[in-house]
Amino acid sequence: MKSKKLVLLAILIGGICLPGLTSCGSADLVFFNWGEYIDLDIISEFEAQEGVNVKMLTFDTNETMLDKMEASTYDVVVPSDYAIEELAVNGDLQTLDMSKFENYSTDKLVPSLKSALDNLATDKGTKEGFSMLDYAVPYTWGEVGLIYDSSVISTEEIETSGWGALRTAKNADGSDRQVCLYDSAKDVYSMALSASGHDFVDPTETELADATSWLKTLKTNIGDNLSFKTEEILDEMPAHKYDICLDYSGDAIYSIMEEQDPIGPIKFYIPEAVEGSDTRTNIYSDALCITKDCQNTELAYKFIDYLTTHEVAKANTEWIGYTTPINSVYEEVTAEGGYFECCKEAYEVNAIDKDHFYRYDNGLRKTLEDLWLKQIR
Amino acid sequence: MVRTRKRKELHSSRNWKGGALYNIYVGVILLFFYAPIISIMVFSFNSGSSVTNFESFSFVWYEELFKNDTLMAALGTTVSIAFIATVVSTIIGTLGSITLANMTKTHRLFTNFILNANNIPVVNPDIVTAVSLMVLFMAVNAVLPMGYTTMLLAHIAFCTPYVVIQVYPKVLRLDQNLVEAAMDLGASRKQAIYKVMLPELRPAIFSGALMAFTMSFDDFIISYFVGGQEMNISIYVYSMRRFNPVVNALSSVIFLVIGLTFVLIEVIRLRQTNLEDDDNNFRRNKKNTKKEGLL
Repeated sequence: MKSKKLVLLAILIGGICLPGLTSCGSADLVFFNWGEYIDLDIISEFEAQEGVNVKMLTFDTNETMLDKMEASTYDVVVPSDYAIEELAVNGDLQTLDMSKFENYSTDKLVPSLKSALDNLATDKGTKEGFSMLDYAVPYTWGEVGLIYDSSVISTEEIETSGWGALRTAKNADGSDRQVCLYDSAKDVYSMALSASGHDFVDPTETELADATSWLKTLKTNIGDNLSFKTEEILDEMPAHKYDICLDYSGDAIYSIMEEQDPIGPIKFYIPEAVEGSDTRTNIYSDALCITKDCQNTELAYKFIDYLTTHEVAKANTEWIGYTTPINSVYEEVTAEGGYFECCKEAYEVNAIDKDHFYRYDNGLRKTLEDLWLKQIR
Repeated sequence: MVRTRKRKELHSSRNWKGGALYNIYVGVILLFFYAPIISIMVFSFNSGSSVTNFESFSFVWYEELFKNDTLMAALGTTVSIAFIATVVSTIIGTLGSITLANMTKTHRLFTNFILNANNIPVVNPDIVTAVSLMVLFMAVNAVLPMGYTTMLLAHIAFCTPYVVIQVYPKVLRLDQNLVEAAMDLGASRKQAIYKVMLPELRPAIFSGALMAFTMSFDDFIISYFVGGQEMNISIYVYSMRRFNPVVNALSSVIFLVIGLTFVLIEVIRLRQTNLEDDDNNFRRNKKNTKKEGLL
């Protein structure tokens, strides 16, 4: 009697497990991606078209991705620019063979992204250039800027005071300004360096001291109305919890679209470079790479190529809400009647030569984190 | 007999005096426990992706859930690992507890040592366990690549101590005479264990297994470090770049399944106790009639 029940229970639970066990079977391609960073229908279509099985695994930060790459093997990964450089320097990535792509070529990229990547590839001062396009095919891109509530902060004020708007204690209507900074040493310090007229790629100690004092003024001015957040900004900005935030353009697109009224008061703006400085803001790009240990290089090329085709890239950018690097799609979705017409100012990344990528630099990373913990947080 | 009557009186008098207050108190506590689950269930039927305002009723997130292959695979991994780890660790833990309890009198030092060693993984921070397991598995990477197997081994390793903690004290408290009596009456050692000891231990084994299952089901850190290419639900949820409401639907389904399982178990248990009571009454009556007959 009892054993019968046990057997019944085992069958019941076993029944739940079985689909899991079978799906754990061999995958033809292992795709290591950010969580919620691809339209899953695209993967299913690719699987059906090629008759293969693609397994996707997800990570939440570049740092955890780098750790997991140490312990396990993946075929295609989507790190950010500086993490790609780290992987490339450590010899974890394959150099791409452009002849293996049927559709993709670097000519298809948005011109301003292409020129920013060309700038990255050229040596600058003591910094050696990094040709990211040799290792990676851009997947999304964007820039760091300010997302603000234009019902309390006027566009004129933002345009004249730039990053300084983060340090202004009162709004025009006399209320306290609610400010939010992205909780990351790198992003906040880079902004502070640009705001004080310095470059953030290779800052000197005095330049860092300038940035620290810039941030300390911000802290004293804003006081208790200052918050440090990360993904929460996505939902809290449309809820009007803050008046102004330091934000990625990709996240800003989401916040603007979440607003009930599409031409609502939330806007995105990238302040101009301080006079005499050749640094405006940080540009970033997440890109598809093939790992050194890739089990099926042919299929990896096919997969990346598939993701860059017009129809697929269009569906994907509309699903994720991040700017596409494919020029034909970029033009279509921002044109009149396009999907992103409503939030053009955040979707369109008009990169200029004064926008720079972060670099792989462990020394600088440690310095910034130390300063951040000891002086700012 | 007297004691039970007293307790009954106390209980009824309290009920009579402050019934409303008592009910409100229990209600508030229960609400506090279940409000998060209720809200996640309500929002799993939201047609929009917001978790703050409810637009309209729809099953769209349930549809998305079953279409999401990555999440379904993660669910499969979680459930199958939890199930296998529970079964294996319950067997190891129970047998270990019985042996340790039998050795307690003769080898005091050794059993104490083992029991303390057993407690360390329980109090040890998960992150330390996770990193050390990762280092170990990396060392044997050539023979045993990281993946499903390493995750399963890790889960068995951290689940077993919980079973021992539940079962060992119960074995100690077990009346040794019962087993001896069974063997006196002709039961083999095996039969004594299966027919006398294990049924006595059943509640403890059951709660140990339950604990092991829960520990395994929601483990994140250890799975994250030793899972390699394998992903469970916790890893999936933690690595979401932005919140995806299919998690609401998934959580509701999991809660429903677990809730129903508990109801089922309760029903089975009630039935069994009823049967046993009937059985006991029957025996008692028989005994009484026999006694009377003797007299």
